[in-house]
Amino acid sequence: MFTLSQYFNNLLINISPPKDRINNAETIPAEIRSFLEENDDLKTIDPYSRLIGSYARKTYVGDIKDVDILVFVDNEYEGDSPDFVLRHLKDILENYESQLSIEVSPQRRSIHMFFKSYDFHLDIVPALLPNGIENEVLIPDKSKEKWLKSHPIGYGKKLSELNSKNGQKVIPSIRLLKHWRDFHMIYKRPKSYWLECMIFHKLNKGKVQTEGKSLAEVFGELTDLIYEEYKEYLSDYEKVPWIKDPMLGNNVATNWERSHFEAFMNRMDETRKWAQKALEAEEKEEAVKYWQKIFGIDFFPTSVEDYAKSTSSMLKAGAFVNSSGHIATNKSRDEISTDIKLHRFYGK
Amino acid sequence: MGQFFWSGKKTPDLGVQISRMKSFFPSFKYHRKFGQIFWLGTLQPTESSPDYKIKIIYRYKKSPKVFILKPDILDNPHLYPDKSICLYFPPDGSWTYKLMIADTIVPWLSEWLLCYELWLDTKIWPGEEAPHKGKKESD
Repeated sequence: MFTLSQYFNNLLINISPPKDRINNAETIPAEIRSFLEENDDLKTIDPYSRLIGSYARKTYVGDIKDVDILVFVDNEYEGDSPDFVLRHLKDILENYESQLSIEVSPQRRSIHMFFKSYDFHLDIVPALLPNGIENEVLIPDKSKEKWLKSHPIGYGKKLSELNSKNGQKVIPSIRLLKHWRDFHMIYKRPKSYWLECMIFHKLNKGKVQTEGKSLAEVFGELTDLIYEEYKEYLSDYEKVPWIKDPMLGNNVATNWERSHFEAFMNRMDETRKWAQKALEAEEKEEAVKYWQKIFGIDFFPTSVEDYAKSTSSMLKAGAFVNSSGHIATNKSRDEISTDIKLHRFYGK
Repeated sequence: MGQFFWSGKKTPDLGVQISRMKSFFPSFKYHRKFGQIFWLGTLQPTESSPDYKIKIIYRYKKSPKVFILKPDILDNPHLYPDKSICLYFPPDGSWTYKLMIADTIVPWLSEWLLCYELWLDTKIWPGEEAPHKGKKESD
């Protein structure tokens, strides 16, 4: 079996955002968070704000075009209507002084900021913390005219724990499935969060064992399990699956249309068969060919020889290893990492 | 902690080795069984790699022996005949018993795993090698 770990590593690099997009995602939300924390008109409480969504969970692919922020407002706002709190937040954000051209608009549950020159979007969601940050928060819903339960921070934490328990395979698998969706489905796309939940449940229930397995094997098994779980719905002409929110238990895919579900299943069926063929291939070139059908020839490399050469240069120039064993060119700011002392491997 | 003795002989730096391993590579757990002192842990050189289950055997003033327990490793240019991993060229003096395993052996092992994966995919070993002739022997 060809597990092609470094081909997959290249694939993950190729579906990552370019540096300027990462830079925008780091700097713009940070400025808005500081602005809100320091603003006297909005009563916020410690810890003031948190990043949420795919950027915070590192499950993004392609360009990061939007980032979500949760702003913790004082519990005294609980007596106010969601519409009032959203309008109040909008007024404050409209006073944000910047040389950039920014559009501020109210949404159903958040205030949207569009930074035109950067083609970058921010969604700022006010949240009440009735029971502290470790528990459910309440977010406003303008249409329903009430505060709704949500648990994005708890979910982010749970996902991160699941990822650690599963040899860091959960988040990359989510990223691969999202990229697969973008590559195969122009219309009728399932939402990113639905895909994320599908993978979360499979791994959380232990349906896929990740120990000692490559990302190729884990992804292949996941596509098969997702198809198998939902195929019973295909025989009923009206039904679509219920996708449970990992924290609150409600169905997150309430608006999944039947034709969209069928399109998803057709693609998934094709993909799981290609993945199986790729994993069973006797020639590496054949395996690569099937993975390229799944992820696209522009993303899944035909060869990693150039990568091997650049890795060689990187290792000669000096690299670092973190506590999981991940090798990087720079010392990590967030965790312990140690430099790889110069040495030579023993002979050929 | 307190494991400063091996076969009745004092090895003053074992406690430091254990402590440093615990700080830098917490997945590695220290064991002492059947007269052998070793660590078991996992390493993953890139996020797409499998998590490799590793055994590092401490041998006092001799070079630690390193084995990959899982997944199976294919025959490659950097294995000793007993299937332990060749991490450095002993005549270079890059490792001595005075050095920390967490500072040398484990980072080299991660590098070895990355090189091994690329070697599997390309037959190119990207790490620096010391060519030699004859049978390979560990120190």
